[in-house]
Amino acid sequence: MPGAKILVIDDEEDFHAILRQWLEPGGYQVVSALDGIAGLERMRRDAPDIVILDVNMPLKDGFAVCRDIRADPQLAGVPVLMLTIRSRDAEIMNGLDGGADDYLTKPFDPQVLLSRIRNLLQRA
Amino acid sequence: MRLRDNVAIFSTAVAGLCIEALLVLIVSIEGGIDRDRVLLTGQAYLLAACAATYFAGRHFVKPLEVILGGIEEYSRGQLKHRIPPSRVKELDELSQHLNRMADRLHELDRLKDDLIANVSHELRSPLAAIEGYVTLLQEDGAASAQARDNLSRIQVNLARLGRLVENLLEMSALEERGGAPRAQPIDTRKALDEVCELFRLQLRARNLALDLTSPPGLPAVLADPEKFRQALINLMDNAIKYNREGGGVRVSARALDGFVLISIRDTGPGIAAKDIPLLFERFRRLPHALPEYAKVKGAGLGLAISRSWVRLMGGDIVIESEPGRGSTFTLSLPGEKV
Repeated sequence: MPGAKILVIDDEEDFHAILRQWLEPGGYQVVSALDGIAGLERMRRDAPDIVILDVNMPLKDGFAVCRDIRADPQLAGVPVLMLTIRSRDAEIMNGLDGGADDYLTKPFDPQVLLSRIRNLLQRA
Repeated sequence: MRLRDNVAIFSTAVAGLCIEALLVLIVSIEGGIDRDRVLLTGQAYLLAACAATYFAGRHFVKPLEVILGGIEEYSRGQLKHRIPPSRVKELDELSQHLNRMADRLHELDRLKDDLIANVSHELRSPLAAIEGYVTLLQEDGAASAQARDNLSRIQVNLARLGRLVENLLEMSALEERGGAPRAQPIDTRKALDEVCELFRLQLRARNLALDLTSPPGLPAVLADPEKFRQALINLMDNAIKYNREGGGVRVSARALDGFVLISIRDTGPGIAAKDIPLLFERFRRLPHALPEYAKVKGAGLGLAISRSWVRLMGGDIVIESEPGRGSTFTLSLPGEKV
C-alpha cells in the first residue's frame, strides 16, 4: 500500500531517523511523535494507517498508549506494531494482550519490518 | 553474663579444688594418716578439677561455635543467615555486628545487581541505534569495498557487544527470579541433533570429528526448552573453542536414577583440578589458559549462566578433566518419568 501514512512513536530520535530512511524510499509517508501523549494527539490529528510504537518511553509507555488506542473508538481500528528492545517473553505477551497487532525487537532486520508493515496494512 | 565473669567463676572453682587437694595432702601428712589414702583423695580432687575445666571449656566454646557456623554460612554466600543471640554479652555483640555486616554485604550485592541490570538495559538502545545506522550504510550502493569491509567489522563487534549485554541481562534475570523456569518434556535426542547441526560448519572449520551417541528409549528431559538449548550450545561452543585442530567432540547421553546425563567430551588441553571451580565464576576466564586460546573472545559468563539455569531446573553441570587428557562436561537434568 504505497503512500500509506505511518506514525512512529518513539522517544529515541535515532529510531525516527533510521525508520524514516527505511520507510520513505518504500513510498511510505512517515510522521513522528517523541512520547506517548504526543503520539495519541498526533494519531487523532493525522489519522495514520499504521502505528509503530516503542515500549520504553517517558510520560506514557507503549503498553499504556496501546490500551488507550484500543479504548478509543476513533483510533481502535488502526494496526499497532510494537517495537521494543525488551525481548522477554512475558513483556511481549503483555504487549499483545494490551492490543498490539504484532511486535518486533530492536535491533530489527529492516526487511522483516517492511514485510510486517505490509501484512498489517493488508489485514487492516 | 560476661565472658570474663564466666572465666573468673570457673577458674576460681578449679583453683579452689586444686588448693583443696593440696590441703588434704598437707593435713593428712601432718595428721599421720595413711599415705596411700591421702594421695588417692588428692588425685580425686585433681580429677574433679580437670573435669570441671573440661566441661567449662566446652560450655564457653559452644556459643563461639554457633558464631563460627554463622561465619561459615556467610563465606558460602548465605548472606540471609542470622546468627542467633547469645547469653554471653561480648559474643552477643559480636553476633549482632556480624549480622549487620552480612546485611550490608547483601545490600551491596543487590546494588551491584541493580547496577548491572540498569547499565545493560541502557546499553541496548544505543546499540540498536548504531546497528540500525550500520545496516543503512551497508545498503548504500556507493560505499567502497574497503568501507563495506569496515562496516562488516563494525557489525561483528556490535554483535559481540550485543551478546555481552544479553548475557548481563540474563544474569540479572537469574538474580531477580525466585522460582524455577517452566519445565516441559523435551525430546533429548532431537535437541542434541539440532544443537550439533548448528555447529557443523564450525566443527568442519577446525577439522574436529563429532561423535554423537544415545541409547534407544532415552527419556525426555524436563526443562525450559530455550534454557536447555542455550546450555547445550554453550557447552558445545566451549568444546569446539578449547580443542585442538584435528581432535574431536564426543557427545553422549544416558539415563541414570531419574536423570538424563549429557556428556560432552573434548580433546582440548584439559583443566587442572584447582581451576575447575573457577570456570563457574562470573567474568572469570582461566589465568593459566594456554596462549593458543588467548584469541578466544568471551566475557566468562556463559558457563556460569548455564549452570545457574540448569540448577534452577533441578539439574547440574559438572566437569571432569585432567591436564593433557581433555575435559568432559556433564549436564544432568530430571528425566520424564515413563
